[in-house]
Amino acid sequence: MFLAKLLNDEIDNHVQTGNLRFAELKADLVAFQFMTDVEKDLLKQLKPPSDGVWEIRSRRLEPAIRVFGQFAERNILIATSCRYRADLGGFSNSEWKQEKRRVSQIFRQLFPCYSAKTAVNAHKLFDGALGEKHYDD
Amino acid sequence: MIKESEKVYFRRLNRNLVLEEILRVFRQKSRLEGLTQVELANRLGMDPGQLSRTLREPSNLKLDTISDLLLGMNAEFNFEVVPQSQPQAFDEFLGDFLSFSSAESSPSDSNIVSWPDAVRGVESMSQASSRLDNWTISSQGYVEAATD
Repeated sequence: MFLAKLLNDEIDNHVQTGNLRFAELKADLVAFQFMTDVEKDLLKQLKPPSDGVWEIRSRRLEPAIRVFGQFAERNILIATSCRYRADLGGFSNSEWKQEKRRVSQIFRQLFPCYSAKTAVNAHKLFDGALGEKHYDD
Repeated sequence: MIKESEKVYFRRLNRNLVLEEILRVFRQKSRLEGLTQVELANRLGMDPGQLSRTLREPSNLKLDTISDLLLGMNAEFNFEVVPQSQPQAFDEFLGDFLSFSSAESSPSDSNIVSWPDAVRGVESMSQASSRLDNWTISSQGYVEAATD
């Protein structure tokens, strides 16, 4: 996984201003590198899969945070942004669509003329997927 | 003095890593021996729901819990405490985890670099991509000319 500078700076700013939740988020992201088996509950594809936008879920701790990104290649996830889960609201909320657009926009800025990889089957995008489907019906 | 943020980070990281290792062993036992969470909970005299919650959340891990889980899986830790590879850990280092080779380096130069380096890596990949008309990103994180 790679982090866009924008995201890295945002996380660091939170930490430096005393938001310890983001120190925990950093730990979650680093530990993510070690995972040999990846559950849908941790790395989830947002619908529709054709958008190619994924979320890493920093869960159980309050407030929950979602880190978003896209796959540049197999096993290469480019993390672009993060949001408090509570700020996104329900899945039908426009905040989700806006965030997905933002993720794609940041990816395009980083890699103009290069499309993010998409696949319905998670095994085609990364090793260690527990199951093919990493999205909700 | 060590900053509170560094302590919080390090605690969470260690909990994450311990839990991940326990889950790895559990999945292995599950595949090879058919061990289920219910069976493991029964062995430990735990409520299966409680076990499930424990295995989902690093914050629930206490040393006694870890010990019980290992005992229930007929496993034990084999670990040693070693110096941190880069003591300035929090400000400049979150890595030894992210493998990245910059666009300028050769494929054989693949190395382990820090979190900030990984960020620069994205920038570097981005810049390298702008210099090529037809390119791809290799599995090692290089930007390289596409072959087809």
